[in-house]
Amino acid sequence: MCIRKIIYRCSSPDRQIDRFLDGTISEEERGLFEKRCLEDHAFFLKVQERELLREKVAQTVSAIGSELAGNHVSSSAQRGGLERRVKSLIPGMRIGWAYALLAVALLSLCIILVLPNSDETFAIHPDLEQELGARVLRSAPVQVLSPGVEIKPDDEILFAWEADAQGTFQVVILDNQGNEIKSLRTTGRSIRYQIDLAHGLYYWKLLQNDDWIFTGKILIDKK
Amino acid sequence: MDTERAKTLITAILQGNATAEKEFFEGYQHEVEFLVKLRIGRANPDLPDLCQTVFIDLFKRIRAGEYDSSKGSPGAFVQSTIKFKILDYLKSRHYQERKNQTEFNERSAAHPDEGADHLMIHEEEKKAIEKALHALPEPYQTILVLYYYHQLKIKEIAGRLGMPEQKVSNYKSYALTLLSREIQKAQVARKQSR
Repeated sequence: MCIRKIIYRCSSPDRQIDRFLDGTISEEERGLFEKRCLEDHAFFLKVQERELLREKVAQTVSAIGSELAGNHVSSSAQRGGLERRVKSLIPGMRIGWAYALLAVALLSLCIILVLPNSDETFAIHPDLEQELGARVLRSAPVQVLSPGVEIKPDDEILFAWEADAQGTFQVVILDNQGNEIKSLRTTGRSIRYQIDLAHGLYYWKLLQNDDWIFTGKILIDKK
Repeated sequence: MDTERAKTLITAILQGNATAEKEFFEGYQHEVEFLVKLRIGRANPDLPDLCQTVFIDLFKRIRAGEYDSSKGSPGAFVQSTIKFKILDYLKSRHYQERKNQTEFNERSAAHPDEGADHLMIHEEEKKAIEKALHALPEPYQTILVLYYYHQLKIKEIAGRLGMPEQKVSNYKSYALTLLSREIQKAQVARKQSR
């Protein structure tokens, strides 16, 4: 399974649905969510589909959970063994430092052995990845219409959204290290950007009157 | 259901149109069942009765002219009816007695597969989920095992892994999305093989 490819396509509305199904949203949010289920049939089907998926996963994990849990036990045991070996090699040194040294050594080894063959431009940014999707604000949430995740290299990118509130919107494009590479402002609900981005993974933020309201990502694959 | 259609049906119900009542019921039936089920627990034996009560009350309110389109959409009207009926139910002595006898709410939360006899997983799907579960990177796999197999709550998992609850919740969602892609692939493969 190509986990990385799949990760690019994960959508944040799933997170909101999971929070609703887990019962971890506020009563006010829950009311709005239920209202949407009653008014938007496509959305309701999506929620139902997600619940079915959760049931299937629950059933499968229940069936093979002991095997998976066993893997965790054995990996914990391996970690314990390694811990003892490191302790004996470096007496008196705190195990945290030993782990840190080991991690640095392994990382260096990975950089030497793996980096020439890997494509760093597609590595995800963990913090931005967690922020994907609309942010929960007091105002009505923004609904982004465009762009999709995968962009053709020669395309013009159309950023488009629906939002009730008025004001200035700002689209900020970031590379996968989180560095700002382009900032565009508009008072409308869309903005076009002629692509001049290299092959790789990018994130974009939508700000309204300087409030960060949405995070998306763009994948430009020139292969 | 489409808001405009629902408004038209409400007007027709007020005029005593039985066909409109039937269409209104069919239009919201699945949504109401689903939302009530989530509120009271899927294994709760009162589910069918409560859904029926919601619709009886809904039609009673519509016929009494309680729906005011200037105050909200029909969806909001249905949602508020569900909410208040469930609150009444949760406060009822019947619910308290039943809860003491069966503890279905906790059980259904702890065993999400309970009451899901209708759920049939195709062999290809099952294999796809198993394969995807084994291939899941850390900490996604650990979180799913702790949640579904050890039946820990998000808060407990967060404590065990030393992570914020929000992060655990996000990772769990992420893991499920990864698995859903694999199921979709298996479904496509099954259709193609037919």
